Amino acid sequence: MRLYKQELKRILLAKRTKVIFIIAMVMSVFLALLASEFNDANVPSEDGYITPLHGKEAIHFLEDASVDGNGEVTIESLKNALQRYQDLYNEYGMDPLKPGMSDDKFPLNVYWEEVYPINSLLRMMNIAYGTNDGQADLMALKLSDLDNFYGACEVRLEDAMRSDDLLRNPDYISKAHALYNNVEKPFVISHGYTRDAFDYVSFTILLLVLFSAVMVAPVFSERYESGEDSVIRCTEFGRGKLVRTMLMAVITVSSIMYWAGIGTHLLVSDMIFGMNTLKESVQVLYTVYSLPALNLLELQIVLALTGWVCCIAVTVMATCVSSIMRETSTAMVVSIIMVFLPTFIYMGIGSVSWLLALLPSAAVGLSNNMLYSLVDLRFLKIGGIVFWYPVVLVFFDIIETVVFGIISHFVYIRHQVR
Amino acid sequence: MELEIKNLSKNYKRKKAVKDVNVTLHPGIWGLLGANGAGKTTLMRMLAGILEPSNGTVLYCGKDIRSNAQYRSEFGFLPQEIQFSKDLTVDNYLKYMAALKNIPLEETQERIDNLLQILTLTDVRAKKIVKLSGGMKRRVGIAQAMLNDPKVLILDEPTAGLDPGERIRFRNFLAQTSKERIVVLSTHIVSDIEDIADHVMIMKDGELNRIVRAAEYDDLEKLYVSIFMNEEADYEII
Repeated sequence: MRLYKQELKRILLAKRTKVIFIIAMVMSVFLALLASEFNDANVPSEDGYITPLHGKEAIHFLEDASVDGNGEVTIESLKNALQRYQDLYNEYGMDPLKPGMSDDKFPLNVYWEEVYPINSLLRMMNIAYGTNDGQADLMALKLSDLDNFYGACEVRLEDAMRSDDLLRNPDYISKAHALYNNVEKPFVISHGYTRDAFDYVSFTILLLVLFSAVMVAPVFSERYESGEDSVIRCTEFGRGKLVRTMLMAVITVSSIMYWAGIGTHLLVSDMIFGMNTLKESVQVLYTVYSLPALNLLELQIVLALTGWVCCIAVTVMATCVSSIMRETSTAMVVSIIMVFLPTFIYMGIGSVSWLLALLPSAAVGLSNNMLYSLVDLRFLKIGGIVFWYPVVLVFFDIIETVVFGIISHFVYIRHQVR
Repeated sequence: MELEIKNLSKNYKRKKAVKDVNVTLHPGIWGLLGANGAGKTTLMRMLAGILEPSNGTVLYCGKDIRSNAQYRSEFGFLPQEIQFSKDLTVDNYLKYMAALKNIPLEETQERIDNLLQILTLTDVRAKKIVKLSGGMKRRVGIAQAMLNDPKVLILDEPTAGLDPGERIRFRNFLAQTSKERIVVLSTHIVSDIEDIADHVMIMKDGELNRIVRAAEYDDLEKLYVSIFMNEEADYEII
């Protein structure tokens, strides 16, 4: 414990750690604020012009405009929404979902008052009764069709999988059904939180994981480079105990930074959008056949927790790299490459694979991150057993933490000075 | 207590850095004299257990140092070159080393205070090591090596970077504190060891060329020079 405290103190006192901590905190807040800037609303003014709203102004306007549409997605609410849509379509002779200020567009003021509150319901109907090639024709949809809305969502899930070469395997489909059965119904709408905001949560996690790798990469290589390792290695606790203590210390420091960063980001983000908006079901924000049985608050928690598991795996991987490399700069470069490698591989092959999942940073990245692994349909199969990809990612991160920890241990204690 | 070096060799790709060294060290100061590149540092590193020998073993109290926990707890080492963490003060660094050396917490502060006083570092204990002069840094290195009151102390060029006054103080300090321990002190400067060493080992081209009792020779410098000039010297190996 004493050595652990000393090692912790040593890492925390390092200028590099302080600088990375400050950057991490600034970026976490900045990205939360930036996410709110992607909200726009064109509001008609009394003089016939459009007043464009941005950022927080738009968020507040949209929140107010949609308040009547919040609540459970019941068959009744769906039918009411469809009825209102069809009535408006018939009344104005144009699609209420295509608003604008010109004569050939649906009147904007009516859109905000009548259509926007039911927008989420209409979008869900569009997906649930649509095809792989396009959305449903809401004017052709009968109210009675909505009696089996949640059944239609499940059928749509199967259709979506059957149309995809990588997903049409019956084992994948039955796994998806099993997962979808756990999704709580009726869905809940609580309009406000956006997909962009979730993208920024994922991006923040990626940055925090990257910062952890950069912070940790020099821990051993710096000592090799400076010759300090020669002195430390000769001491009673300078080998096995040191490497075990060091691993605990780096995990502690990167965890502190990670939770401070992601905690601040989520706090700022949730304050901007409002905590109430997090009651919404994942299926409302993404697609009706998304598999996570979560609301948006739970999704945030899952992303933060899985990001932490990934952060620990990457931290231990970077420590392992540091125990192998004799130069600090090489250790840093290799660690950074390892963080981005899954992104490059995913961009190259365009789908998930066991190879990709085996990388410690597979759960963070641009399009290969945990968020998309949860809301998209991603599976892996070995033998006759099908695994949901997000579970595979977490499983491998835990395994890799142990494996890289053991490798670090053996590499460090066997290291020879030149 | 003895440190037995048996058939110790170290080969690099194209060079034999240390060739078949055999010597048994007892408590006292053992000077290791040799020109740059003679193999002193390689030998020191093998004695410190941080470099694997190509051949041979080092035994401490009859047990191989590689699997000897007692050796590491009773060992102190000052390498030839050492850079310290940029962010640590003298005090923090020594506390960190004390934790690594498993020095009881209740004894740590007293030992640090004592060493800082002996090595005249008390005034700079709160300063970052990187901001100290070369000589002061060297003394911090010596302090960490002495922190656990080692039974075996390996000092590779300990006086490098010290001014004449510091050299004298260091020699006196070493002479006073080395009665009960094995001290191996490498240098290429004869005057560093001639007054304090009990024995002198002269190394040339990776071999231990001579091991002599220092007290028996009035002019160690002459012996050293004669060996390096390849002159025949009429001295016995003890």
